[in-house]
Amino acid sequence: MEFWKEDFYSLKFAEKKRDDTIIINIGPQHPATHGVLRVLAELYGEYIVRSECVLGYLHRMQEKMGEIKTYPQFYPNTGRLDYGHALAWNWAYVGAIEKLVGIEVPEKAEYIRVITTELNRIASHLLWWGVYILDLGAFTPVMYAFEDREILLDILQRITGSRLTYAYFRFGGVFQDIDSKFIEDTKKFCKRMHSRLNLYHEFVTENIIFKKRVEDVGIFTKDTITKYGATGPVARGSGIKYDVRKAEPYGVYDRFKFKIPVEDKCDCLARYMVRMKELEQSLSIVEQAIEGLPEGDFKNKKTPKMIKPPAGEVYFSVESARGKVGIYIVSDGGMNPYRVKLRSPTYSNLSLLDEVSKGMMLADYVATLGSLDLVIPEIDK
Amino acid sequence: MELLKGLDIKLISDERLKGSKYQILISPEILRKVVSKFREEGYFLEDVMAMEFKECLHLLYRFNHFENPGTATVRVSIDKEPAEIETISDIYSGALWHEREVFEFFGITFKNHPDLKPLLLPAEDFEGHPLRKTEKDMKSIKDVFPMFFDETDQEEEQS
Repeated sequence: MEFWKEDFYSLKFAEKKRDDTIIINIGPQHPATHGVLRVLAELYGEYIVRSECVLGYLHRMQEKMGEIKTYPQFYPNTGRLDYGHALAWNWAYVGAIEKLVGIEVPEKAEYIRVITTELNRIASHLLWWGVYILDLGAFTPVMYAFEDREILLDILQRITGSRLTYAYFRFGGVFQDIDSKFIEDTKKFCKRMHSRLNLYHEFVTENIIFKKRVEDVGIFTKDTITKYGATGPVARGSGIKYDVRKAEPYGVYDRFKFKIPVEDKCDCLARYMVRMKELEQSLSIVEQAIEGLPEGDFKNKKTPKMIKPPAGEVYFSVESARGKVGIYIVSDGGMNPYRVKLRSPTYSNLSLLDEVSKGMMLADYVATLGSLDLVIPEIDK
Repeated sequence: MELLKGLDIKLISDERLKGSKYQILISPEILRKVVSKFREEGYFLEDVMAMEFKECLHLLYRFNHFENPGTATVRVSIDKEPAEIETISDIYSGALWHEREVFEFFGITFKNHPDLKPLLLPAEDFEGHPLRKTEKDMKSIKDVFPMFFDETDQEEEQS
């Protein structure tokens, strides 16, 4: 009995099939793939002999859209790339344009950007935390995570106007100022979150079933990380201290005190711990930024209405919840870019899985896939 | 750049090129040598991309270092006919997907790539390379990146 549909990829994949194995499809419609990712896996019993990711189910040709639209017209698309941490992509794009044109950002706007981006990072990690435990077979934690995330989304919605696919930043600032209710709510949330994190650790991190599922599973060596160019918590879970916020500081990140959590066990638990510790660091950054919030404009009033950069190129990168987001723009001096390239972190992070999965058990594969924190729209672009 | 001493490279520093620590212009023949040097030094591969100009296809390989951050952009121009270049996927496995993406978007063949097939676009019933420019939109590389060419080169062409 054949379990795969005969298409280009599966036929090609089956060419090298052994006689004693079967080939299965994980996805594209499978809850563990968090979107429409399809994995072709050749199984010997419960062990994976070989696997291959098949992408493109959500491909929208964002880079072409960037070329045929004007600079401001393409901007809302950046929020649709990563529904988890949309503000990071917003920042990468406006940051690139600001660098290319030479637009200054008022100090207050920089602080607002830091606060909202870090809140968004917390929301993204909470979403990951909930559904990762769900992947591993525990249903309840996702309810706790979504309860907290809901508060956060409400706070962000009041200010940005949307819940997931934000387009809040503007060239030279942000769309609107934050008010006293926003600050109060954020302070309240931060206070609440510290105690909630302890609860999370008590519930899940110290749970013996959880530990058995993630400890020593999905080992990514330092060399694998370097070869594939993985970044973010995936790299930091393998003992690599690399965070764009510290390595190549942008905005006002150099003014805040925070640590880069690093774990050197290289397994799923290490990546889990990195993200949990990052939640604390993000909370601390938000608290510091609110404490030091300066007076002033939330938007540079001198920003030109028509964005028409001089000929040249720019590469600007920021740290999203998943790793290094980079946007590269070539301008020929016209109204729209000559070339837009989006460097998405999960694209590189996922590409290492084909190699690492050899010899892994199928259940461990799901645990490893979840620990990568995939967002498919960002990979398929 | 200390790392690439002895190789025939051209370092470019120009304020119109923003965001990279090093801009390195090389010929396609020494690409694999240059990339191997980066690998030995512990750089990681950020991405591989291409763009089209009137005269050539222009490829960019971006590298970065975990301990010593700063983007190094390696730039290669290749002919349009035949649009071919050696693969670097055996040196950096991360290039496996990046090269497949460039292959389907631009129709550039990467020689010795183990599995060169479409990645994001439909594998069947699809023709063309979406990021190639039409005649109307195509610019000359000399207009967009004049800093790659010495002034003497340009004068020669004008005369």
